[in-house]
Amino acid sequence: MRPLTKLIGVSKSIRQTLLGDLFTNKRFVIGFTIFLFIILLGYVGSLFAYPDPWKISYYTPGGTDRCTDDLRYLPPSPEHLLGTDNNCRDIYTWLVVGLKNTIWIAALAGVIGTLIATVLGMIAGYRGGLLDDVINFSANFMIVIPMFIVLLMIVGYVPERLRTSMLVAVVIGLLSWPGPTRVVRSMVMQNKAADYVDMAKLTNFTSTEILFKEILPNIASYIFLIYINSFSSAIFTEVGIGAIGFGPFDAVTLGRAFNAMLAGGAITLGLWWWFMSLGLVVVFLSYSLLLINLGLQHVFNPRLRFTVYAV
Amino acid sequence: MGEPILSINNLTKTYALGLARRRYVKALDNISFKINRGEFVSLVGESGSGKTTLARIILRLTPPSSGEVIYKGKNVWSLSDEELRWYRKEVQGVFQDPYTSFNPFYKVDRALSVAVKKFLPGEDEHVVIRKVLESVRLNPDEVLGRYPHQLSGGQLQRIAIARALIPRPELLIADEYISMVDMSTRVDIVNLSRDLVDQYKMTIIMITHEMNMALYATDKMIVLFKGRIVEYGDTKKILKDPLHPYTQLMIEALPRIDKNIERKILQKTLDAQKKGLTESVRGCRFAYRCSFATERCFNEDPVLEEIDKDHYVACWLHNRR
Amino acid sequence: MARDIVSKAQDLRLYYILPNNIYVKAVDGVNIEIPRGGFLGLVGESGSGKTTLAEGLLYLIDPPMIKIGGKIFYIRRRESSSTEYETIDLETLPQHRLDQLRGVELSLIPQYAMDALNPTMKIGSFIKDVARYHGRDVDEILNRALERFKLLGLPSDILNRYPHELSGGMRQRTVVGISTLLNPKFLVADEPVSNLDVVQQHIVIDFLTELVEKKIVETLLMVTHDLHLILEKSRYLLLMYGGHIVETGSKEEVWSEPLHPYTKMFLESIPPVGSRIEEKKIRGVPGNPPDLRYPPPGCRFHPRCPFVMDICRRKEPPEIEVRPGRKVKCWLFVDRKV
Repeated sequence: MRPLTKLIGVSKSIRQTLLGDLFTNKRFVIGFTIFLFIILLGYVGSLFAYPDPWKISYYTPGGTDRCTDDLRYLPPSPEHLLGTDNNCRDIYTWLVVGLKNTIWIAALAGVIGTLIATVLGMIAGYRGGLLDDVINFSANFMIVIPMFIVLLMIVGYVPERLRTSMLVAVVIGLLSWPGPTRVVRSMVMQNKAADYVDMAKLTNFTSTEILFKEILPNIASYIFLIYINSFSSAIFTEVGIGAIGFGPFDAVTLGRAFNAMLAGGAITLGLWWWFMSLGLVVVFLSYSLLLINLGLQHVFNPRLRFTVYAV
Repeated sequence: MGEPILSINNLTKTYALGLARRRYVKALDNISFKINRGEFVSLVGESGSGKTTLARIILRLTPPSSGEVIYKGKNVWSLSDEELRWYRKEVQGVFQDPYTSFNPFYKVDRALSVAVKKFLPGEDEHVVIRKVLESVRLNPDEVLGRYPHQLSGGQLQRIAIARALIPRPELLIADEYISMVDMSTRVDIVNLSRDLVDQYKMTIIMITHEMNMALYATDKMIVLFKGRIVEYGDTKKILKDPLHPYTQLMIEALPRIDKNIERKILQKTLDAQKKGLTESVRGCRFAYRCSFATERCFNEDPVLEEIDKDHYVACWLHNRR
Repeated sequence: MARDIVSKAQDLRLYYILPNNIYVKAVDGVNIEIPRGGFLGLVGESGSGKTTLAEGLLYLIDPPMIKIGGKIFYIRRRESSSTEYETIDLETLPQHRLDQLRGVELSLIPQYAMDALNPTMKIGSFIKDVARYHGRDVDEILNRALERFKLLGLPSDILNRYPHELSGGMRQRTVVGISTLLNPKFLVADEPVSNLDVVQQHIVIDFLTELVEKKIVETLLMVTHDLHLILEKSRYLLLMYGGHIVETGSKEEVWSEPLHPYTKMFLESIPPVGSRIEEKKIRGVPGNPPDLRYPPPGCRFHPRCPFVMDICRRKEPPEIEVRPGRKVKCWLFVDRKV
């Protein structure tokens, strides 16, 4: 390591400066802002949407329950900000409600995945031995298997009426643990070898105390990173399975909106406001998460942290 | 100087290395010695001598492969849970790198208060902490409330000693505790250790590679080379008359300002080293570097023998058998 | 005289920029002249800035280190003649000229040298690369390497080994050897023996001393925190504290008559061989090294100095040139003839 660490003492206390550095990092701030904006689009935007995405558009002359050709494929208008789809439903409503639902599904999936990874990683890393071998082997084994296919198989097997958003969230979460578990495990192992863990042993700490009071605080920030990763990948997983029709059946999600867009012939009919709006949301979502990731990497990686970027 | 407080009997630690775990390295090879109460003992050795392994075994962090560590008559590695809790109050340690000895996530106060809670439940934390910091010659107001990275190596190491003192241990193992402290302040920590031994009748084992600090302040010295004790005894006697060539080498190698210091043994060792002899598996571990080595040295393991009162050496040059 | 000096720094300020725009003032106004020839020592402890200064003299200034001000000169013989010298402001040198000088005239043995080797290359391949890059005969350099490695006590098959096959001490000696291969005129060695055992320490120091005595390396500047080690072999010393050079002088002058309180106390803080604590207690330097982000006002050493005066707390002391080559930065020596 650079002699810098000798000049100023070892790297700064995590708690103190990480947050500060994070919010001065240009990439993180831009990414975070865009991401926040998109979330707001989902939640706040839903306030302005029609209450029921499934209903035929409300503002039609005379009001109607049937879908007729004059209500289909309407271009954007004050009543329908993004027009209507092939089933006379409001596209804008589908977009924002879908966004909102996908986000909470991904958030939940991320929590489940990260929780499992943390628990298993801590057990494997700290205890070692047979438990570690089992967990490590399973993780290594599952990593090789394409989770997307497994997910499709599981979700596809479930009959439509049972395929709820909750189920999808849980399944995505349950399938996402192998990668993060290995990361947590290696972090725990690194920390376990630190002198302050030995000092804790000399102070009559029990193993549980060491795990939770000495090791966990030091890896907490990295677990946060893991959560961000799980969250982002869950978003795109949902969009992926939803777009091909295997998403939740009980609610409108972004994936489902994609599915509707593709099935509804938006591209062939040249209804650019339909596919552009969806496409742009996903593009900005990706971009913002990428920036957040880069920013996080820059701050967390001790070596990158000390380079001056030409932004 | 009192009765033995610590006895190491035939202690061996073997590590299996390599891909198929087939190579064996003996970090410690049949070590035996006794430490008396109230002594300031130095364990001198360079890297690869096994000194840190020995520290970890005594501190009950790494188990030995064979042999015993007896503290106050009890076998340290077969203690019950309750006895272990007692042992932790009696025997404490300070490690080499002060910056990794403290969890960077917490302020240094926490390490101290946690020790008070565990070892002296019911006592007033603030009072104990202030007292113990003052006993290591630190101004509590200068160091409390800070994170480890905000303090200098010297300050942190003193806090580490303070923390170790909280349970009022009788034996302190200091593993290279000055090597990461500025050179100009190392002697103050050694002076402090001497004072702790003199004032509180503590026993301190100072593990170091710095022969001059060991010669300056300690009562007894144990010289370790590749997992074996080569010389052991009263420090002043060893200073006056170092018997083992390795001890002589380490003393000769110390920097001296007076010019024209002849380093005969060092010169011969350098020549031997350049010849590229490899270590022998049997016999004396130092033979391949030794300027006095005979054939017997390469074939037979020398045994620790008392050559003079309180002066033991394991070397065929001196052994009478 | 130009020929007596090999490197010069004028009011040099080298800072590190940390996130949140905090500056670490590692070298904060240094004026020195490194005499040409022989074994020299730059001594300082943690928080002194010695590594930064050493890298600065070789113009190895990379982010997050930046040069806030001052100049760095390298004085060399002109190509053709052997009596004329030119003074080069290293900042004005185009990159390719700087690269030409590096390794050949200016070289560095980095700190933590044992980690400086490319793990994917055999030692021999690396040396061949070095030779080729500088347009030298590969065989000549390889032979020279083998000779020098032998002096350093390394095994004869070393060229065929990968770094991970060698112990830390062996890697360190390997890097020391490689840094000398192009017979640099000005070699800076940053803590070359810190992690070695006593025998290896002497091997390396003797090796470097021999190169200097045979004039293969003209000037060797060893950067270290071990004052006593370097007192033995060096001829001239520069002592650094808190980003400033506090004293310079020949080895004899510094040893027999240390001027700066830090030098005095530092010299006295190492127990000489044979001294016993019960006979005489050796005292170290009290206090703590300065935080280079927020150095103390006035003299950097004043919080720890037993001779501190009021002015020391307020104003930075000037550099007093007691004799040519003998400087001290301390208020005690202003208006005083030594």
